[in-house]
Amino acid sequence: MLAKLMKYEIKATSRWFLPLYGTILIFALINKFTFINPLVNNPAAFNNKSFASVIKGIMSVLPMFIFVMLFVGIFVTTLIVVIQRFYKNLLGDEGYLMFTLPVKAWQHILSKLLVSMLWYLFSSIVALCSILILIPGETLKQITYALGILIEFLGLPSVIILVLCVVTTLIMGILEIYSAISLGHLFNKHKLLLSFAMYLGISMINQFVYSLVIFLVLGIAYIPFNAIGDITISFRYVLNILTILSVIFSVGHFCLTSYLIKRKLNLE
Amino acid sequence: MHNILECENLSKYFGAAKALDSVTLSIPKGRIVGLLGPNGSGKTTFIKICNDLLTPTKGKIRIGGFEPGIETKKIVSYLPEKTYLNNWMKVSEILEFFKDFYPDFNTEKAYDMLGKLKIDAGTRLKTLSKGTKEKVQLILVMSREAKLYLLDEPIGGVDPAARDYILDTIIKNYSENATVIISTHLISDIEKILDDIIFLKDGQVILSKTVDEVRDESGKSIDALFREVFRC
Repeated sequence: MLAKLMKYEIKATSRWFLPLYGTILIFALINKFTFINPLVNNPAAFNNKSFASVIKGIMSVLPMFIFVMLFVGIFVTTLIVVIQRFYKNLLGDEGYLMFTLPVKAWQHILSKLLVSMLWYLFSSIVALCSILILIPGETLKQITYALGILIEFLGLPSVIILVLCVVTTLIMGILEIYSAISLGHLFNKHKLLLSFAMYLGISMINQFVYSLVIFLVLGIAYIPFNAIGDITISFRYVLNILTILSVIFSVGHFCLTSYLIKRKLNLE
Repeated sequence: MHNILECENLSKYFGAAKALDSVTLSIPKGRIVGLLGPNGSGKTTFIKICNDLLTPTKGKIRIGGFEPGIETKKIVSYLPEKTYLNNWMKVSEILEFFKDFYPDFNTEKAYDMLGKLKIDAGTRLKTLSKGTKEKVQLILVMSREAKLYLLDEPIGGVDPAARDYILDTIIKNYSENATVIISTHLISDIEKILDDIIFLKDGQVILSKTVDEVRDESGKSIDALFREVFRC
């Protein structure tokens, strides 16, 4: 049943993403020829103050502007889809259909979460691809070289835990939104506004606990932040704590959302 | 087991308001039951509890022997008063959706009904009129071979001509052992198809009888009796 829910969730959301992905990749290609290549091959042309070249400059900046907007838009869209699918498909009128399917409440939440993660992954890959298309080969070499040095400095375990930390934090972020919307729906009026207020409240609690735990743990463990030799160890230490906290918060918000949906929800 | 639905002292409070107040009912298999009452009498609350969309404050409810949950959702076909269709699927895709989630969904029957109502399966749900959406929903709900159909105001939003077709559809498409519960306040329209009636008032059952009993005892039509009981 989870697989079926995910299949329809992907169908419902892909009509947003696929056109956007296509557009951003096309604009990356356009910019490579109208902006990046001229800049690399003939930088002097950009200093030419003649009318024709100013117009030409504007013409080449415009696609770049659109590209940047699309680049930001891809992640904004992902966030909006996360909110909109939960709010509309589960707690709106469509909820009458979804919640009378022979499926458990937690499966609905999990399917939405997993598909959201999938789109975050694809959005990141597409964003990365668009950058790879855009930047010149020489610059790319320098960047990979610098990245290599950074990874070597941090050590592979730190890099793995860093990725893990980003993923769990993202999961927690999505589940916090679900919790906030579910809490907002306990009220009869101003549900969206109250959902937003709930989200602020949840974020504040989250920030407070994070700061407190990190402060306490680092304090108790006497890990010197400024001892340069130990900075990678401190780094990994903090990442470990952040990851564990995100997992705990994620489980908490998942259970809270399941409970609210199963026991407290009253569809309008 | 003789009854498809049994509930005992079923109550739902919203704060101090009692939307449903100690309802005790036994509804047998193979009946068409009218759940009748004025607006705000608790009809929708009752149906939502049956569908696991609300948790009762007190009391017990069993459908086919199960508490509302996955097992009951497999055997209950529900038509809410809301339009629950999304705006991105085609009619054919929502049929597939139903087939995917409900093993008892009869696709052939659904296409047959679509044809009779001249609804093109290739149309996007978004572009359907409100009345057509209601018809599509009814087709989806009645194409399931369920044990219990819960229809909340199935004829409220459609014209009188379509009402007759809908009632016909309801009678023709439920099997011998299935029970249909229809909630409505448009009694005269559905009176002729009912076997039993339940009158709800302020969350309480004030009358639960077969239509024949009502006619024999009072000599009145259900519509006349309703007007008498719920006189303002």
